[in-house]
This record gives sequence, C-alpha cells and structure tokens, in this order.
Amino acid sequence: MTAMVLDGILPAERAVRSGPPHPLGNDGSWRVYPRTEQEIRDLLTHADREGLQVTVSGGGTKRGFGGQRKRYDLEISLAEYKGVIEHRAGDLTMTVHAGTPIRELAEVLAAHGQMLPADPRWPGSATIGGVIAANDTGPKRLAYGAPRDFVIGVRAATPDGRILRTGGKVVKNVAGYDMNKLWIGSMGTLGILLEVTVKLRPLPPDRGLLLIGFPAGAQGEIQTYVNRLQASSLEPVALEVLNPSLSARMAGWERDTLAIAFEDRPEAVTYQLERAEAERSGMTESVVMRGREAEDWWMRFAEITPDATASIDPERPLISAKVALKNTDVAAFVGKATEQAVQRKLEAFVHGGAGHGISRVYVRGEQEPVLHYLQVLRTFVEKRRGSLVSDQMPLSWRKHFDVWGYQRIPRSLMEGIKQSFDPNRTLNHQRYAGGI
Amino acid sequence: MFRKKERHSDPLIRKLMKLVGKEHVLHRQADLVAYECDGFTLQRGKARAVVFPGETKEVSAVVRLLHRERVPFIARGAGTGLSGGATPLGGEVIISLVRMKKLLRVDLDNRTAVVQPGFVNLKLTQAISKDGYYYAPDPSSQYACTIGGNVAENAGGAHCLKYGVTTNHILGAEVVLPDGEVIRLGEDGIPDQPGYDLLGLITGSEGTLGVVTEITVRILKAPEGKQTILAYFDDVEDGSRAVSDIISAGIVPAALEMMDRTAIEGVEAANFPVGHPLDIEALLLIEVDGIEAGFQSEAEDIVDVCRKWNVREVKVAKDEQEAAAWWANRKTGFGAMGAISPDYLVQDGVIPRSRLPEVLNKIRAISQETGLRIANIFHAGDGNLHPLILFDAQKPGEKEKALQAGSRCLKACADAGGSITGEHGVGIEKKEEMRFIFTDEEIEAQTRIRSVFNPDNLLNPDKLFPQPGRCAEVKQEIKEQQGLKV
Ligand SMILES: Cc1cc2nc3c(=O)[nH]c(=O)nc-3n(C[C@H](O)[C@H](O)[C@H](O)COP(=O)(O)OP(=O)(O)OC[C@H]3O[C@@H](n4cnc5c(N)ncnc54)[C@H](O)[C@@H]3O)c2cc1C
Repeated sequence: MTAMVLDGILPAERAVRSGPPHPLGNDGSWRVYPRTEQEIRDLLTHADREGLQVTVSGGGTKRGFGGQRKRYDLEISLAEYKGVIEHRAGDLTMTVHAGTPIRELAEVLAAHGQMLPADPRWPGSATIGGVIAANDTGPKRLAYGAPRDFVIGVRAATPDGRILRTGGKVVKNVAGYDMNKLWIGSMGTLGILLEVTVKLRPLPPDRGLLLIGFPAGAQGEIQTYVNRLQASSLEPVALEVLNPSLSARMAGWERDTLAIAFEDRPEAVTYQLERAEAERSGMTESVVMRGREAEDWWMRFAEITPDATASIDPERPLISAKVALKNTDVAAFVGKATEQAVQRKLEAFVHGGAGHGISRVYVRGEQEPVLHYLQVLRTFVEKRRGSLVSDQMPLSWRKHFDVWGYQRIPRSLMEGIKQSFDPNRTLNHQRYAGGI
Repeated sequence: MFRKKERHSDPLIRKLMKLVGKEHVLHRQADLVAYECDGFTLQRGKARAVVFPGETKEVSAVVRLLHRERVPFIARGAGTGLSGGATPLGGEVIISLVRMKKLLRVDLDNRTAVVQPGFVNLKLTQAISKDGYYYAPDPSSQYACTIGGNVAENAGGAHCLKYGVTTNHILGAEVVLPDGEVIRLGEDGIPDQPGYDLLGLITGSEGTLGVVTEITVRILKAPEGKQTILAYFDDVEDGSRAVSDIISAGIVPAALEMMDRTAIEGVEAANFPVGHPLDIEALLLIEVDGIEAGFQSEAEDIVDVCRKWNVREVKVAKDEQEAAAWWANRKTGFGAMGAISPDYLVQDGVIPRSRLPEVLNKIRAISQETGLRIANIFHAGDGNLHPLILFDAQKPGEKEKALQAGSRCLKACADAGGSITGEHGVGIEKKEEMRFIFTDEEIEAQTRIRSVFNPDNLLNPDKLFPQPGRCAEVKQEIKEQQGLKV
C-alpha cells in the first residue's frame, strides 16, 4: 500500500502511517479514516484486488480481541463515519452510521425519551458497529437482550465491492434469511458494517438499584436468593453478581455482592425494591439507590477497567475474558474465579449475570500465571458446556492461548460462510473463532 | 394384489420403509392428498411419499438416503404455514415431524425447556403454567402449529410486541443438515456460542437449511398481573393515531391489536362473537402486563389516549373470562372470514407503525379497484398488517384477482419502507415479492448462504427466493428421476 494509492481514494490528512505495531495487535501499516460509503468501498475493493490485508476498527476498544497477525496492511477506522442518519421516534427505530459511539446515540435518544436497549462497556468510545461485531453486552441484557435482539437492519460493504442490505427498517420481518444475525459477533470477518438500524425502547420512567452484600464465600446463598427472586413475579433488569474486589470498588464493601436493578414506573420500582429487600437474609447488608444515582452507578460499572485504548503495562497487562454459562452456574463461577485468583495472588475483578449467563473476568498479572489461571477457568467452564473467550490480551500472549477455545460449530459451515462473503480472506483474517 | 404391486414399484419407498417402519410411510395417492398444500391452499403439488421418523437418528438416516439418491425433500410440522413453505412442488419426499412431539426437559431455575420439533406450541405453556411459567411466542395457530414449524418460520404472535418473536426465544437446536449430518447449535441453552450465529440464521430459514430435530427454548415467568382493554373507534385514523400515541407515551403494551369493520363483521358472525358493535370502523385490543403497581397506571394512560382520539367506547376487561373471550374472538379471526366469504387469502405485510393510516388507505383503494372486500386484522403495535382478501374461487378469475390484490398490498407495505412478511414467511407465495425489497445481489447473497448448507438445493427446493429458470430445471430433474425409477 502506498500513500499515492490512498491519495486517490481519500485526502492525505485522513491516511496516517502507523508507528510501531500496537502490542495488542490488530492495527495496520496505514490507518485511514474514510467519511463516505464510497471511500470505504474503494479502500476495501482496492485492498481485495491487490491482496492487501485489512482490519477494521471503531473506537479501538476491542483491539486486543482475537487475531494472530502481527499487523495488517490497512486499518480502516470508522471513527469518522458516524452520526444519526434517521431517527423515526414514532416507530421506535433508528438508523445510524456504524462508527457512532454508543454514548452519542444515547444522548440523541434521551432527548426523545428513548434508549438503545443495550448497556455495553465503554459507551463513550465503543461504537455501535463495534459493539455489534464483537457482540458486547452488559448486565441489563437480562431484560433488554443482546445485539441479536435489537439489530433489525444492516448495510454493509463486502470486499468484492458489493453493498448488501440485510433485514430492513421495521421491527418485525421474516423476508428471506435473517442475515442480520451473521454480522453479530462475527468480528468484522464478513464485511464492513456501514449503517445499522436498531429497535429502540422508551426510557424507563424510574430506576432502582439494590446492592446486597453477602458474607464471603456464600455463593450457595446467593444462588438460593436469586432462584427465589426469579421464581417470584418481580422483573429485575439486572441480577449481577460481583466478587469482593470489584465490590470494594463499586459497593464500598469487600463482600460478594448482588446488584439488582428495576426499571419501571416509580410505584412499580418502589414495590419491587421493597419485596427484594424483604427476601434477603440477616447475614447480608444492603444499599438502595434510585433514579440518577442508580444510573450513574451503572455508568461506572460500564467502565470497571480502562478500555484497550489506554496505555499498556507490558509486564502486567490487563487481560479480560467473557464467559458464557447456564444462569445457575454463574454465582459458582464468580466464586471459583475469585478463589483461583486469590490462590495465585492475582488481582481479579469478576462479575456475572445470574439471569443471562454471561460473566466477565478482568485480571492483571504476569503471563504465565495469568494464562494458567484462564486455562483453569476454561476447564471449569467447558465442563459445564459453556465457553470462555478472552477479549483482551496482548498479541504476544495470544500465540500461547487460543482466545476462542473449543469450537463446536462445524468448520465447513464456518468456512463456507466466510467464503461466500470474503473469498480472498481480505478482512480481519485469522481474527475469529476457528482461525477464520 | 394391486396394493402389493404398488408398494414394491418404487424402490425408494421400500428403502424408506426399511428405515422408519412400513407403517410410518405414506405413498398411496389417496393418502398423499392431505399433503398437497399447507394453510396456503391456492397452490398445490404432489409429494412422492410422506415419512414419519420417530427420532433424530431416523431423520438423519432418511435424509442421508434422500441425499444419496438425489431426491428432494421437505420437512413438515403441522402444515399450518400460510405461505406454502411445506407444500410440495412435485416429487418431494415429505419428512413429517409430528411423531417427534415430546417435551424432553424443563429447567425452571434456568428458564429453559427442551422440546422435539413436533411438539405443539400451546402445549408448552400448558405444561409449565402450573408452575407460573409460559412460552411467549403465541401465533394464533398455537393450538395446532409445532415449535419446529415456528422455528422455521420465525413465527410471531400477538404478544411479540413486548416479548419478541420466536428467534428471541430460541437458545439451542439440534439440526440434521441436508446431507444427514447432525449438528448442535447452542449447548444447554447457554448463549453466545463462539462462531457465526447459525442458530439465528436457521431460525426463519423456512426449512431450507436443515431439519430441526430438537429445540431449546427460553420460557418466561408469568407476569404478576395483566389488564386487557378494548376500544371502539368510529374512524380508522383515530384508532391508528391512538396506537402511535400509546407507543410515544413510553408504554410497551404486551399486545396491541387492531381489527377493522369488515374483520369485525367476520368475527361476530363466526364461532366466538363477543358483541362488538357492527357499525364501528376499528377496534383496538390492548394488553398491559407486569408489576401491578406499574401497569394499572399504564392502563389509565391508555384509556386517556383513546379518549383523546375520540373513542366511542373504551372498557377494561372485568375479569379473566372476559379478557379470554376477547382474545378468542381475535385469535380465531382468520378462520372467521369463512363465515362471511367462501374463500379468503391471508396477507402479511409490515410497515413502520407511523405509516398506518396511509397504508390502510392504500389497501382500501386496492379493495375498491379490484372489487374484492379486504378485512384487516393486525398486530398494530409492531406494524404487522394482515389484510384478508375475501373472494370466491368458484367465480372465474377471482382467485387470480385475489392473489394480485394481495401482492399489491405487499407492494404498498414495501413502498412505505416496510417488508413483505412479518411472520408468515415467503414460501412459494411471496417469492416474486422478494424483489419489492431486495436487489438481485442481495437475494444472491442469501442463496449463497443456502448453498453453504444445502448445496444441491435438495431440501425444500424452490422456496423463498425468486429464481426464474431454476424451477424448471429442478422439475425436469425430478421428472427424469421418476422416469428412471418408476
Ligand atoms: C389460523 C392460522 C393462524 C396463524 N397465525 C399465525 C400467527 O399469529 N403468527 C405466525 O407467525 N404464524 C401464524 N400462522 C402461520 C403458521 O401457523 C406458522 O407459520 C407456524 O409456525 C407453522 O408451523 P407448522 O408446524 O404448521 O409448520 P408447517 O406449516 O408444517 O411448516 C412451515 C415451514 O416450516 C418448515 N418446517 C417445519 N418443521 C420443520 C423442522 N422441524 N425443521 C425444519 N423445517 C421445518 C416447513 O418445511 C415449512 O417450510 C397461522 C396459521 C393459521 C392457519
């Protein structure tokens, strides 16, 4: 790739020659900032024709997620391909450019009393396209679902120059295959998301948050309490278990904590907070937050650790992993991950959704103990038929740890899908599960 | 003598019998008649045979055989589909899943249930309601349709406005691929299995990517309570504006349904009348649910919105019986058209809900121009219209006219930025209408995906996508095979 070629496609000030390779990998010798669909299409087809390797980024918060290559030839950043295209407030739908940061969307929507039904991490920098491609979800997934539930349409560019629309602009649609699903979680291996249409929700009239601190090691008790709550008719939007070190930061006590959120009309929030409080046992302590205070707490929760754009301590980098399990294994997993970290003198923040099955581990330490730690957790998780995927790790470590883990989906199908979008393996090559 | 000879005439039938047992194969012409179409009755075709496997292994063995012999085949549930998805075009072997109808497991703590594909939708809720749980997707055909069929069609229902359609409730599946290989997608209902979301792709693929042989679904806790509201309007536009205002008020009702005057005439003449006045132009049937303290005030707000839009009468169901009667009246709405018309065609378009008044006007114009009455029963909250085109197939040319009117309704939806189907699928009925919303390139992107799973297009061939030319080829191929083997 040369400056001259890029010159023909976009202005020189939007093509930057990169410095030394990023320790997290997934950057390119050149980074370009296209602003139009035509520019993105031209960059991609040029690369495809010339056999150049391309990676795509949004806010750069997932730079450490997957990938085996030292470097790509070109990093197409969508950071300047952003903004709301159409907000159909009466239809509760919105179409936006893929590079729009989540918080920017949320602000536009809040002015209309609406929200994106999602609470992914680092909303200030993570873009809607990146959140979809990485399938990032937060604690409120319990009530609001995941990208697969709110994405109703996509416009994307494929390496061979096609612009494909999948889905549409209406909330219910079964015309043809549900191709939207292919973009979700596929780490940009099939095409570059240009525009996405999402389903919205009204902002809840009120919010309540109940933090319950349990005595250390009381995973069984947490589970019993969760089961009781889930068997009642209460409708929590989050049921997140936090380990003691994370609790120390988020709740001010070093105990296992259950964070229970309710979002509804004020009278319904009050009623549910009271019922949930009444169910807790004497061994516990609790705090209640309401409205703005509850919302701010979740904002902080979305930034437990700095994102991948922060500077990296090469000796003790921050590693994160996403774990999927049955709901009833989540509290036990948080306990296990905590106990194993303590044994290894590793510092680990762990939390998990006891109502949606996704847990997250953030750990800092040296390579050998940390990778061993993750391996032990993976064994625990896979025994329970779940998965552990590391979504942040330096490139050099990824040579020693298969970030995606055991692959259950037949390779031929995975390869076949990749082949039908990107036959030359131009996009995010080797970044995805199964080396795709 | 004759029967014996017939049985032995087709070696394929003999092989199928060997795999699943003689009594589980239908092949006599008279027995095949019932399988000539599904709920879309305007187009029919002859199957070569119908097999009834009893377990996944048998499904796989049957599929392997058909794949090896290059015989096209179709999975079939209850046959309630409304777009011809399970209808043979000629010469396919139908794999009926109705014998695989067990509820395999229920895990209340994890809110999951595992069913076989032939398990009937409503039976799931019936099986778990004693514990206070239910299965949310509730197509009006839920007393008959199978969960396997629901997965294939990504079925919706009245309560999908708040709770989502089938795809939002499917956590795992066992699938027999078109070459007979058995794969599992999602384990134990655990979300986010690494790799492309094949589960999401297969849901709604109308039985063209694989035969689903086991399904893990999400079940929900029944809400603390609910309230059902009925509102009568003298003007359709007023009713439509009320729908928009309810949504803009930040309320997400569990259901928000609408019927127009012709539809009301039908349901009141059929088996479940509830005494709706016959001179109103539209009614809204609205349900709010959740935490009592919250939905009580939501119900009050909804009543206020209806009043603002000149409602003639608005009432809250006084008890469960009354609400159930209103719902039975609504859910049997399609069939009720039989009471006022010899035949009817159900259409299924989607529009952004704010365009409701405009599209309803267009549908009225189509009705006037074609001279066919069109009743509208629909999921107003999510903009999913069901124009019911009333006609008389005995009258020459009326069937064609009805089909045309249906297609024009879909065009009106597409032109308003909508879709040609919200829950009934494309099947054979709307193949050509796919072009209203997708370019050739976008359709081709989808057929490429089909080729990944179903490279020989043996599984449910010639459905879902417009493919001029292709259809003729396959039929020729089938004819040749039959010619060779009969
Ligand atoms: C009166 C009436 C009301 C209806 N109301 C609604 C409604 O409210 N909402 C709605 O969404 N639909 C509705 N429908 C349509 C229909 O009931 C649904 O599409 C339903 O999901 C079909 O299920 P089935 O078991 O009858 O499938 P079938 O009609 O037998 O098959 C439908 C499609 O699924 C495929 N298929 C079936 N089983 C499998 C399997 N195990 N694996 C792979 N593919 C398979 C078939 O090949 C076919 O393409 C209604 C139909 C009627 C007659």
